[in-house]
Amino acid sequence: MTMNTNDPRNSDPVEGPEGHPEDEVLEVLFTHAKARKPAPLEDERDIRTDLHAQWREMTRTRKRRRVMTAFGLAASFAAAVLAVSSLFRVADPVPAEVATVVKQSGTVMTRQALENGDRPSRLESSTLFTGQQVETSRASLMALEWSSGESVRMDENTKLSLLSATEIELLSGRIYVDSGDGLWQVKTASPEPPALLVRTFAGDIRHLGTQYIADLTSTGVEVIVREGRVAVGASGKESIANPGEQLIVSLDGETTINTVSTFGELWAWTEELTPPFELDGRTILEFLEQGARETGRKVAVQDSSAENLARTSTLRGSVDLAPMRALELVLQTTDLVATTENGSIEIRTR
Amino acid sequence: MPIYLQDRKLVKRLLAGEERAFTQFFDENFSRLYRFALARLSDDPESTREVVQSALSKALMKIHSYRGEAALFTWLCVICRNELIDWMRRNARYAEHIVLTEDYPEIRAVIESLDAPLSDSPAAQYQRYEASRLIQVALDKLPPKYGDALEWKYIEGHSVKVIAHRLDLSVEAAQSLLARAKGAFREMYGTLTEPVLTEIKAQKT
Repeated sequence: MTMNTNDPRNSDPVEGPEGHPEDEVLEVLFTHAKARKPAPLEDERDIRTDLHAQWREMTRTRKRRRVMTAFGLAASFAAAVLAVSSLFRVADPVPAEVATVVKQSGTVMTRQALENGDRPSRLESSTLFTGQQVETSRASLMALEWSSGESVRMDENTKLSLLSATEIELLSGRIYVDSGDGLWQVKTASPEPPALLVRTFAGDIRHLGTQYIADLTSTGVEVIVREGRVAVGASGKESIANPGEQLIVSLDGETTINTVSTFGELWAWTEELTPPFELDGRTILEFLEQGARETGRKVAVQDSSAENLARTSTLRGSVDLAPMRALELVLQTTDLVATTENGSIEIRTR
Repeated sequence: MPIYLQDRKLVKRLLAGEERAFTQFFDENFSRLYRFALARLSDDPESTREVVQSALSKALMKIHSYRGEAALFTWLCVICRNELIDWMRRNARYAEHIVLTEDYPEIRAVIESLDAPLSDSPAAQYQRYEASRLIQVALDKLPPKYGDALEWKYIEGHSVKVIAHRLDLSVEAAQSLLARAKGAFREMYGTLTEPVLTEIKAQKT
């Protein structure tokens, strides 16, 4: 048998000194082999995210146990010194209330993340607690709100875990985070609550007063910023995304930034989860500005009569529709008309 | 008894909560474990997914007990094998579970000639298929970088330079790794199909 000298496997100039006599035999052997097949990407992604969540929980539990053991030992020692005979017991932390479901369409499943063997059950309550995991399916969406004013909207096929009052873990899918700095957001638990931290297996995401989408893919995480700034920490470094930017962080820490629109099709699914507009006592202008914020646009009033009307007319009731439909419906009862032009909602008198 | 220090260090880092350790653990073992289970489940991807997910979950629960007496992947295969047995018990249609060549305590995969013409008998064609499959099995049983380097060089035909770049090594280090990988492969494949190399050598003389 003659060897094919044009085959790079046999004529690699960098191969180095002559190898083992049986190398030629191996080369013949390998000509009969095919490359090993990788596992399906979707299976790999799903198993990776589930396993990662289990691992995170396991390491957190180990840390808690070490602290409790150390504390328990110290307490026993103190008790012995003080000759106190009662047993010191540290109770398991009680799950705390962290978020509320403000909007939901379709069936959402839930389970306690600590109990990995549990099957998920249908989410019935609108109150969510630490340690709870929630998951939307193909035909469901959900919007959550924190007492700090921050909100998270979950797209279809999205799973997240509520780690604490200020931390969630995005296990799969896509979420929209709003820091709640809009006109009508006044709820805060404390003067300056820490920003909601979103953990993923590709990196941790924290915002600095913003609206953004975080999308977990099989190769990393994509963050798209509409307003404010977002920092993604991965592999020991932090990358920043600004408004109109899409930051892609891969699993091996490589980053890419692209320019994206802050309104339009990319954001359409988030508008399905807009909270109801409470209109009582609000001016038309306030309503328009909230709608504009929800759609990534700016209000542009075209004439002084329109401006005067928008500032002085007040509304009543509430409307639970996607922003542009709500706008259309509410303005029908007024002398104003709205058109969208690029990134603006243009208002004029009829 | 050898102690697999690198694997033990990786497990220690994993238990300490190091994110990179998780990524390394998953990347180095998932695909190989998947193929290990797939071959034993008649290439059924749905069942394989279920078994592998369960095996990895159980492995994680027990990872603190890993001492390094066997390679980490070997340890994972033992857990996966138990999951396969449980799965097969639950699924009546697998009452007689598949036994693969490399599962026998003494492996004797005799291949008469790898260069036989295609019009050969079905038995010879099957033996060639088996030889190819055992190459993949042997590659999976090697440390991940060894298996990958050999596959890239001898099956996909990449140069040492490309392999060095992929592994983030110098060319010299990549050459050295390939030399060690070949030695490890010879030993591994030899235990799977002892007569094969002898047969080919005889043909070449």
